[in-house]
Amino acid sequence: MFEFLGYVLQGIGGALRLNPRVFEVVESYPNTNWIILMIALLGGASMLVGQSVILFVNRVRPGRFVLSLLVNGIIFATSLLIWAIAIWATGQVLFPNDIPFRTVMRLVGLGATPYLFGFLVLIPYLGTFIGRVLSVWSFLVVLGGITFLANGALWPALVCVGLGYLLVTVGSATIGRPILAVRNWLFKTAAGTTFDTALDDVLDRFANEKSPPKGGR
Amino acid sequence: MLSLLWLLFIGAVVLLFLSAAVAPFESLGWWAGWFGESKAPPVPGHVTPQLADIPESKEPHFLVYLSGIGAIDAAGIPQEEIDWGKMAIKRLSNTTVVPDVYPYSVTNAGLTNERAFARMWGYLEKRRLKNPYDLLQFLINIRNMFQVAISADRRYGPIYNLGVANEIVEALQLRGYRIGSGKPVTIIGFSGGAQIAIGAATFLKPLLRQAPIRVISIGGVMSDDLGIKNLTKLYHLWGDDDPLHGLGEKLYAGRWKWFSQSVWNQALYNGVIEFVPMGKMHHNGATNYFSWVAFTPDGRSHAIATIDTIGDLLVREHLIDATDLAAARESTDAEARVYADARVAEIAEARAEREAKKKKQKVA
Repeated sequence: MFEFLGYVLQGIGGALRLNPRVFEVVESYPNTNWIILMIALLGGASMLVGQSVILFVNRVRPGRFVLSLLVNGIIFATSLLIWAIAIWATGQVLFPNDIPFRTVMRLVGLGATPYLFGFLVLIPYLGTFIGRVLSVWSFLVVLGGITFLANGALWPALVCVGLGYLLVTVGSATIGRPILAVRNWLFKTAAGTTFDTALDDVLDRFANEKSPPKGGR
Repeated sequence: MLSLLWLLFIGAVVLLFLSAAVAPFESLGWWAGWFGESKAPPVPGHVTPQLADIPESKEPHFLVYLSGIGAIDAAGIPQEEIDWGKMAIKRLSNTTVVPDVYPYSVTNAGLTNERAFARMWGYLEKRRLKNPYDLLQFLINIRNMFQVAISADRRYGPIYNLGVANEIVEALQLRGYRIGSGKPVTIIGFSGGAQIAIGAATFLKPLLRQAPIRVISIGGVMSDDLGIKNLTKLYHLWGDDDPLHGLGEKLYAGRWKWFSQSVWNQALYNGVIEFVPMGKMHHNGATNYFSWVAFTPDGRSHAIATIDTIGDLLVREHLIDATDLAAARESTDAEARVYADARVAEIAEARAEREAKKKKQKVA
């Protein structure tokens, strides 16, 4: 058990350092599927912890909070899966190859590794910057993995990863809207709130109070 | 040995990051009602009924003091600040002083008050009482510094500052302030307390039904907080030897001169913010703004010079009467001198004791 955990931690460390040896292991061993799924789930949950202010502002209960983390993990893992499909499809069209989809999926999944530190986005003032660093880092991990699959060819890998990202972004704003609606419904159901309150509403409610307080003082 | 030191360093950094990451939970959890605090978040327009029974203060002006990041609760602040505050109460006329707010908690609960680490904070406080320069007190500073950063962070600031503003309103009412009376309120914030003062102003002005709010920062580390828009005036007192008061203008982008439309720069342009030089004063240590043993060129202790500068500013703002202020100063001058002499004598005695000890050790 400890040996297994040791390998997982080594894998995480390697992925964070963009170590090609990790990409090689992930490419060669399909049984790394579960480890990568776990990383994606934890990454998604950690990221939500970092951005949890919206849950607190809407007064989500502790049980619902935990459930939201789990659901966000699943949503995040699914979004990586969709990105992997887009990257794989772009590769098949622009640079015909025989790389199996499952291999691309595992390497894109590794992109969740930096998000294990997503909870650090909570850090006051510095957190927003940390969030941006993690996004860039995640992109670089995915790019590193795809470059490895492309036998070190950076530009084709960058085109696939970049176009894949663009496809997902355009898709979410057009034909993917029903999927986004399902995602939002799932998240709201898990959190048990409709997320009606934003931070600006707190400001509006209290900072713009014009009416005299009841009670006469 | 080196690897052990390295491990300790890494451990300390990890702990620091973890503490910073969990710091916002206190105020966020309070807002969400997670921790079952007796003091729930305020409701607009609601006033606690029992506060209506407190007689109204006759003074025309209220002054709230928010201590620096060394505070453990409203009363548990470094001794020099306590002594300074006692003298300020006597020396500032026409003013009701409100020293009861702990600005580093949304519920005004001090660190030793029903918290998970209450015993640890209590232990640190005991050490500080024995030795005012105890090194471990930096843990209190770090904890409170995170709360200052929360106040300045626009993701958490509205919730945190609302909590503190609510506490200030309650403390004012407990000292006889009538909401709706329009009596002006000045908040003095030392160090991080100044940031929390400007943050709280966002909500304080509407909660006090548009009463004029002024802030006097003593070596404050402030961001370009939205609350500045609600201030009639912000005075920033700064010492030549204070390396910390300038941190705000380095750390917070909204204070950089390139962002001319930022809240801070607009207020500066409109004359709402004014810098007041205090001479060779330091942020901490024996020559700080509250010191009784360091003196200005005209012979006043730093503590008195700071109080008097505040008094002059309050007169300039027409908040207190110049004749009354002069009388208050005259009646407390002798006491201030005696107090300063006693502190100087104490220090000389302590120094002599230390030197005698050293000599003994050398002989032995």
